[in-house]
Amino acid sequence: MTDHAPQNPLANPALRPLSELRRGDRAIVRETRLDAEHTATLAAMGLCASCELTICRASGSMSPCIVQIDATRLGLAPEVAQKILATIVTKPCDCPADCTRPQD
Amino acid sequence: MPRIAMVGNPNVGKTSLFNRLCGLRAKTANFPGSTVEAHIGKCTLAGKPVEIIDLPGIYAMDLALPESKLCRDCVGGRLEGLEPDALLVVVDATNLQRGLRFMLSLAASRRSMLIALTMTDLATARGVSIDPVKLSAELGIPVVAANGRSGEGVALLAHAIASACPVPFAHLEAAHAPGWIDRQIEGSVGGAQSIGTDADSLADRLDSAFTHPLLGTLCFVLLMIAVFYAIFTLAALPMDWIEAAFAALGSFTASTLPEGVLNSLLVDGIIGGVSGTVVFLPQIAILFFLLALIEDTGYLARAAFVMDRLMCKFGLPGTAFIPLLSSHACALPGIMSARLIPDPRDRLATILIAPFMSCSARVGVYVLLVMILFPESPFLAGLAFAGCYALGAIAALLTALLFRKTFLRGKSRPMMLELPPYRFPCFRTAFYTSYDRSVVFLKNAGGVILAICIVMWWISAYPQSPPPPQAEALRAQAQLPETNPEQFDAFELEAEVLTSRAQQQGSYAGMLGRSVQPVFAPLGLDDRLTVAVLTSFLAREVFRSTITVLMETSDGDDDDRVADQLRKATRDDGTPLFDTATSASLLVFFVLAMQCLPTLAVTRRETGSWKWPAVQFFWMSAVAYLAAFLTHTLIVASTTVSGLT
Repeated sequence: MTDHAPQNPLANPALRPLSELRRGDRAIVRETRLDAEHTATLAAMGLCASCELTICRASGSMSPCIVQIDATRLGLAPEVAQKILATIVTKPCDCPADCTRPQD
Repeated sequence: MPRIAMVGNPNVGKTSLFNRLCGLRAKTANFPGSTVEAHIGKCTLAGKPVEIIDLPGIYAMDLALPESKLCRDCVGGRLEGLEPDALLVVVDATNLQRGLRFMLSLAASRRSMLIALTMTDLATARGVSIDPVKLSAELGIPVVAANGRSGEGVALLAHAIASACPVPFAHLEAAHAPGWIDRQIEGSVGGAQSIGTDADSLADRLDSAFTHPLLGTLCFVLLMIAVFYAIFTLAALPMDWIEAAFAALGSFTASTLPEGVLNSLLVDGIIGGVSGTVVFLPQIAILFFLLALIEDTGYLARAAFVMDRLMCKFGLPGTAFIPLLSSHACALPGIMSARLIPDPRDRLATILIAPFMSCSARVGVYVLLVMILFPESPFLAGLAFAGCYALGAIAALLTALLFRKTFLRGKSRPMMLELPPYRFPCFRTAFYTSYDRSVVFLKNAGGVILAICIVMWWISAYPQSPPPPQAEALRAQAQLPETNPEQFDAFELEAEVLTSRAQQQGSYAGMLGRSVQPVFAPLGLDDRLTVAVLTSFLAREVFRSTITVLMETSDGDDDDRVADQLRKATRDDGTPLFDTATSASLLVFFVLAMQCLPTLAVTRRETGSWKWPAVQFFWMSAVAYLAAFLTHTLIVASTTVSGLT
């Protein structure tokens, strides 16, 4: 994820940080702008590009959010949620994420 | 003896499985330069002796974290004497994809492995039925469903380990093809897509409450109050027993051995010193038992989630709240519970500030000084008492902020926390956790703390001073035939006080006190108070007994009487010793100073170096001195100004 030039969310209005999503929203992670170590940690926990997640608790400006990926629930600090860009989906993703591969 | 290393993600039930296999026959192993620890246990499985290493739970082998490094070193055979013959990979059935991904990262080591599939009951409840036999056929390595909590499947797992079933993973190249893991899951289970659907509605509702900014904070504070109430009430009786047992042992030793150096060393130095530390064992055991239960329910992660918002303002993670709150009972378990904090910098900052929290040993000193300060106003006394707790907490948080901006500078690991599923806690695991922590604590008490007690005994007992003439005269008076039993006791008691005072003043500790007195003079302390403060660096509760001996008052449980006697004590020039400025500066000093040698010893153990206890000691002493000096100066100045007007 970090090896590639990040997309500008303004250039793609569908791309939104997790911190802006509402409770119950389902989204597919497209890009993270965290450093390599944090990106790797999140990927090991199951949050990686192309994975689908559900927002269980929305993030406020200073408050963390909770996301669910498959059976895993993760609490994310607001500064982390702000740097994970995703697109909201209305139906389940048919392209399973592979967190072992380099992400784009 | 074959050696098996247990590896797996956090919260997959690895420790409860280890406890099932090894029970109490396990020891905690620390590794040089790291606070990360593993548990090593020996057991007999299907008639064969086996050594099992329980490695810390990690999300990936290649992360730059101490836990991951320890696992890499162990699996890679770089830990001397701990090279595993096979790996037992513990995989959560509700999170099979992540578990298998982790298993694949271990397969590169080419070590034999087998899989213990846990949480199958939870997976079934979520609509996923997993067939370990099918999965084993798909993967080409043994897979056994086992539940460490109920014991179900553990015998089968033990048999699989003992019968040397583990084989190296053979599909390493094929496994790197896209979608390989999903295909294995689909071939083994009823359908991965059904995981995490409607079965989470209860978790949703609980999370709504427990992670709510206000409701969640309230729940956490109430729970912690309940935990500390339980600690204080449940630990009181066993603490009394320990005190009584050590007192009996001391009396027996004193009466059995002839009077002399050995008698004094054993009774006053070793038994007296070690009992002062071991008495906290019940608090530690109960705290860790309750924390383990709470952690096992999955709630602790939610509490850390809620508190993160507040604590991050001071450069600390949400999990730091638990050690800091625990330190109100005693800093020792507080510091030990900092192991919950994953980031080493966060953990160190928390350990360094934990002793600022007002522990139960300070209460006796607070009560005494507050009663001297506000004898006529219970309201002001209560306010001052609460203020002591607030002052300690504020000093701790500001210190954390300062440390994180200076020598502990560096980006904190932002919260990326897994919230494990809610479960009924496992009492067996909690018991083993509590037992393990208690053993670590006792080993510490028997090592560093014992050595420190002997040194402190020596500087207080030597050089030995003869009883003063007044004491001899009182004893002679007590022996007179016309002395009645009541007078006899009074004379003997007074003679004992005078002898103790002479010994205290003539000892190296006393000499040190007098030579150091000019340093404490700006706080309003005379030589007697200086000696009392210096001796209380061993343990702050010593202050009360020392000061009553030095002031020639009688110690007792009646705080009012002792406070009244101390209030009447005077300096050489006849002015009150415990004037408002001195009493207040002493109170501030005791709130902030690092006066607990066992705490320093535990800090050394948890940080692996004497550097950090030294930082802790000098920083807290400097803050205490400065704050006490400011308090004394301001009160003296305001008294002078009001006197002039």
